[in-house]
Amino acid sequence: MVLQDCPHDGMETVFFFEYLRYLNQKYNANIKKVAVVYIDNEYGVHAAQMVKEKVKDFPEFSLVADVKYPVNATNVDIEVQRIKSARPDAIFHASYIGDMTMFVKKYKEFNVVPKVVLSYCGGYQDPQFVVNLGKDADYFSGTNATTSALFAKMPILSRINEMYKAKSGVDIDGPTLEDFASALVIAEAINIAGTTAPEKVLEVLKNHTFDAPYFVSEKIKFGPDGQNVYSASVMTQIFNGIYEAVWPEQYQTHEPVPQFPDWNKR
Amino acid sequence: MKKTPLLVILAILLILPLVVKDVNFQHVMLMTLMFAGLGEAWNIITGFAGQTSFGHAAFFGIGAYTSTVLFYKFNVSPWVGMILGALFAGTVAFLVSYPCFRLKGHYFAVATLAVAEIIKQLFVSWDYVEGATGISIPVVSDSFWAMQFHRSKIPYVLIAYGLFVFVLFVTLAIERNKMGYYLKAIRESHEAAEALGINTARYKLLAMVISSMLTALFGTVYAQYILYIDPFMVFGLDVSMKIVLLTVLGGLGNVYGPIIGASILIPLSEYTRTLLGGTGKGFDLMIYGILIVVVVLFEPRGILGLLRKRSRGRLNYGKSTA
Amino acid sequence: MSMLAQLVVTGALIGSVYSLVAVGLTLVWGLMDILNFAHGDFMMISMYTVFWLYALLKWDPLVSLPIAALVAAMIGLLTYKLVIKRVLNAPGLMALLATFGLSLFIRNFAQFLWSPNYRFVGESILSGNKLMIFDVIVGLPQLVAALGSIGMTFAVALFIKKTKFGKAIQATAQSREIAELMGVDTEKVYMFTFALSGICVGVAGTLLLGIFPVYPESGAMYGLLAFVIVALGGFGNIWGAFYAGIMIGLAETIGGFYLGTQFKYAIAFLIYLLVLQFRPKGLFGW
Repeated sequence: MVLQDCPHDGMETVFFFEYLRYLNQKYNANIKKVAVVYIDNEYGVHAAQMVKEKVKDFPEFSLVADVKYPVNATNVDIEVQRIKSARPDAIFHASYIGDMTMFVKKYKEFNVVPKVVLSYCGGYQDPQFVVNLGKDADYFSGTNATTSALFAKMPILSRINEMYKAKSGVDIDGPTLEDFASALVIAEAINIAGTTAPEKVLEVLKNHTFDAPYFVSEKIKFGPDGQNVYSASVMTQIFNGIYEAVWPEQYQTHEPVPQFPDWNKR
Repeated sequence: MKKTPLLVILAILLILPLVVKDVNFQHVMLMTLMFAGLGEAWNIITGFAGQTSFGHAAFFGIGAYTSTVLFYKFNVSPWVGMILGALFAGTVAFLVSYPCFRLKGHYFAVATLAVAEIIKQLFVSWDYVEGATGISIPVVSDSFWAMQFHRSKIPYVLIAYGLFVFVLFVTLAIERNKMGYYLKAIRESHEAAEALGINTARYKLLAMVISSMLTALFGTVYAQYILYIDPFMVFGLDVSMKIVLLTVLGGLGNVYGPIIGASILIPLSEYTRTLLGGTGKGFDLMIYGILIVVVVLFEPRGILGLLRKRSRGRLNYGKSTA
Repeated sequence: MSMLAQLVVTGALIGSVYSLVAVGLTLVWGLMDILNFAHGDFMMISMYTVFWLYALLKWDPLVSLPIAALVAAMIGLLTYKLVIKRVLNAPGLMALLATFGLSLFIRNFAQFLWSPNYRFVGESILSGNKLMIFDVIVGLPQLVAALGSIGMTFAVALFIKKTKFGKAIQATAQSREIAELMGVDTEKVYMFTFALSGICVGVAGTLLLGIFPVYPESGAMYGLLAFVIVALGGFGNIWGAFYAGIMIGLAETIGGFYLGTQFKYAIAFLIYLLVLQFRPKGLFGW
């Protein structure tokens, strides 16, 4: 049985749509048309499938473009042309750092100005994203397991980061935090079971709700399929090169901005 | 003259995996047998007929996908799927080769490459076969009917061995048959062959169809062994190139070539990977690449050329050309 | 209509760079009948050269262009001397085998040295700028890349056609023996051609760096397309490679836009198959 603490892209997709709903409610963002742009491999195709499936649960949104591009593409020119002609309000990206960077440059060149761009775990979350693009990376959004902006708000997370930074020299990032969570959960399960006997530990893992004060979701509980039912994600948006937490509200470090500025006004 | 060394080699290939209990070794043997068989199949169109194909992965993949889809959607035994896969591959080969055969030499080679890439893209985009996500073959307990064995690799090795012997048999039959002579005549000079009254179109087509069908058989075995396939794995250029490379290395146009080439190249790649691959720094592939270059520089006429040089005065059968 | 115009322009721009890569390949293939599998990887090495000069010394890629060309030329030369020379008389596919091994080595050596991360040149003289021609958007890096590639192709073609050494190359391509009898130093011809092939990809790679990342596999797709373009244009034919490259670029953009972006390369390959039905030796082959 595989127990997974980080959300799968079905949950991420729902998270994306709920965030869009929040933006519409709180900021009158008027987001209606969604485009999904994805790389043609298992990662991208599966994310896109989830989008096509879950959009039905959010009838206020409609899918206006489905843009799939080959692995190792030499350019993303026609993809961006397709996206532009569909005029989406929100763009969902399942892209790696190489293609994502090319997309951002092309959006700038073709003057594609959406309201929101949300990224699955890929290029956006890569530390090179801000390095490659500088100011052009601002206003993009995506889900992270955590971000350095949250250290001030979450004391336990901050303490964990201090320990990590002492050993590694850099701030802890999302994937590393998820690994850390896994180790912590197993340790706690063993403590609760009082033994390392696999069946007993598995019992605890399957039934217990673990405290996770370093995640925005605060808890970890594995459902019958082994998936953590709580979405261990926080929606971030880049401002001045920093991944600010914008949603859920109680962990906000910066208000979300549901509109890209014109490219030459950055 | 040719039979004894071949029988000895076949005996060794059979006994080795049975006596050496190391599982890793058995895996390497399996891969070697498979690729040697793929090389023999490829030799028919390239070595004998002189039409270089860079796209044989297309047939390999068709074999893999046919048996896999039939099994996981319709519960058809992979053995049946294997035969159907071969037929499907043969049909595709027929349809595709006919227009391509008017191309010669490099143009034909690039055309085969193009065909394989197009087929790969079609499968990537085809939802019915799960596209880019690939298919995980449903695991069942050890069963001959389902061609799945979990307790030991030996059954897989034996199946690969059996197929290899079969392909060898077909290859030798073609070589001894007038078809073999016709193909070699076509290879040496298309025009001369035509002048002699050989129906070059028919024989090239026949060679391609046979070659493709044999290639597809191994696709099924591979799928059943790995229990997961996706278009990138089975239709990829690296599969096509591996087949090309090991046959060229061993010696083109000769039945021993693929055996020698596979016996060197496959263990080389597998062992460099297990020994050095763990660091993720690509050492294993660096060494593998260098060693390929070194081997080629050492004997630019292929290993067989090296061996033939040693036994001077022998008839130059199966002369290597491309 | 402006949608189509944009596609045509974009396709031509992309295709021009493909052409330059193909020109480098067709020189070697046409002259020596050698399939250089590592051709795309030479491009990758020159791209890394330019990248590091940018990252460490802040040199704009255009400034590093001559150095990148030189590095690629040297690698071409080295490859010829150490590897190709020994397999010239061997069956053609042996060279493929050798260059395949070389390609594997170069890619993984690059990965070992510089990690598989994708590197971009963030700020260059050209980046972020664009022109508007009626309704069509033309990015400046793309335009410069295309013009540079066309210029280079022109230069190479002129060289081969008009100069004395160029004629020596043509002669050697027709028949090495006879060229030697005529007093041509064919060894020099071979060396030079390999170096020239490197220069072509060195220039192409540098021009691409403004719009495309460098990573160990960055030459792979360009290399693959170059093979098809060379065949489409006719082996050894420089202008053939040029027109074929543009054709493939257009097939990619127009075909990809209307038939599905995920098929854009498959469509390019299909164009090759279709054209060769009517011209079995490529557009200009003989």
